[in-house]
Amino acid sequence: MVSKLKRDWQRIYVVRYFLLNLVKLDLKNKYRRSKLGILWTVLYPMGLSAIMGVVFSVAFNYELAGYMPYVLSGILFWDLVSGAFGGGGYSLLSNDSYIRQCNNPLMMYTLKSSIVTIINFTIAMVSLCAWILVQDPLNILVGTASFPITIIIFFFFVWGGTTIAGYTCVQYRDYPMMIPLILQVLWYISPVFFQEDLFKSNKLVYTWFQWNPITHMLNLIRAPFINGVAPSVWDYAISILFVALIDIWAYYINEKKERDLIFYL
Amino acid sequence: MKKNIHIYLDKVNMFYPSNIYNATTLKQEVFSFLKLQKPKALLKDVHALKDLNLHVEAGERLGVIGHNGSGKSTLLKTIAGIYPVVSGTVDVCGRIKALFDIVLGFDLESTGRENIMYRALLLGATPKEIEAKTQEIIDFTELGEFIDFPVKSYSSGMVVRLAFAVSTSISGEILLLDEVIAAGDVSFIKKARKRMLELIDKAEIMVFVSHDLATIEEVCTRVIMLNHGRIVADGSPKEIVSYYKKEMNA
Repeated sequence: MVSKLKRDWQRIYVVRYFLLNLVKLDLKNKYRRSKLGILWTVLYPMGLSAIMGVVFSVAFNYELAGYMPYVLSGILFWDLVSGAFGGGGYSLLSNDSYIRQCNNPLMMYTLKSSIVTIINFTIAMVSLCAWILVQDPLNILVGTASFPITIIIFFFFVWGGTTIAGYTCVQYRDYPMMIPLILQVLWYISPVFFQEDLFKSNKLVYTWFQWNPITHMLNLIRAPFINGVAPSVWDYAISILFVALIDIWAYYINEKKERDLIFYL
Repeated sequence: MKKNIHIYLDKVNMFYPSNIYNATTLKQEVFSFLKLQKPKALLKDVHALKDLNLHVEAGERLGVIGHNGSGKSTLLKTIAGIYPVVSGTVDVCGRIKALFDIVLGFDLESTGRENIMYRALLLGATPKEIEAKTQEIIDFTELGEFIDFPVKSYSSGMVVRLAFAVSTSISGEILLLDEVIAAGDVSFIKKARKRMLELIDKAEIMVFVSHDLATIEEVCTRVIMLNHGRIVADGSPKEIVSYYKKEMNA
């Protein structure tokens, strides 16, 4: 397995210029001919969190100033999840013209989508930082210190998710219709917008909340940026374990399906 | 030490799996269960290359001929490593440069200049190499100021010119050509052909699949004829082309 991984990385290294160029092209095409361009990556989550923040704070009687960064961090993380498992579904399909012409490692295309998702997430984090700078400026220090490890964990989460989604979507064309429904369910049972007290109404639901990996991955952002404390060891442990499982699954799928994928395109 | 550039295929068997096309939709399953339609006829796997043995050494210019569906393009894509084989050995040593569908994969939103970079990177060139060649490629395309317009504003002829110019600017040790020898309008074809012949000269090995028998005879030093995934004739271009013509007329 190690020698195979090493060989794959060597193959990816050989095509590194092409890979980086695809990343650049994706980022460029996203905002091509838009007046505000990449600013939308920051403005969109800010605008959406303002709307959702007002609606939810009225509906659930939350205090708006404290709830806004909570919603914003939820939106940013959820974009990552839907980028990996939703948008990632097209990571191989949309590159079929390259796959048909060149014997490049397929991991390269899911890696490309993952890098784009992570870059967008990192830029979008500016919106949360801006909010925190106004509300609790000192939290930025804890947030910035913990961010490098968080982004590494998130990157491996996104790459694993994108790989699983990419292969599944090529083989099962119902995937793009099905995945938004699954993600919607996951959204409702995770603390993306809803706060912890809402999950305490039922013991079973609260147990799920405590073990839900999404809760802990969200804490990797919320603990430092919103609460000004480092994420707990438990948050790291659950997140890393969950990401490792996702990545092992992705590796297994890549090993099993890479060879014959060309016939499904 | 000099690399021993070669293509060795030993007892290669390659199948196009049918299970992908045999998958049924829920509607088909319900309708056939209710006897409202016949169950879908199941396709069989296509045995595209059968116990195929082929050794090509450095310096050879191999032409591949045969009727449609004989396995010519499949052979090329198997050599390129795009199609997996079920059994046998594929041993290819050398940097492959494959020209299968040169216009595929252009980004229509990007300019011609940007697409030169994308396409050349796909073909394995480095940014430095491309920068050095960009002006020569632009001059060859004769696209003038259009080079800085998005490719979506190009006519199909202009896209072909651009694709051809980029694809033929990067050489490889093993050149795989599928029907591409020249492209574009009448005025462009002459110089395109000259450029392609220069590219062929630079390659250590060329494998050229075509129905154009005159070009096969002109550029190849050896020709194989395929029939239903097997090599049925292997020899000099003159001999094999004449055998093929006889078979076609029989």
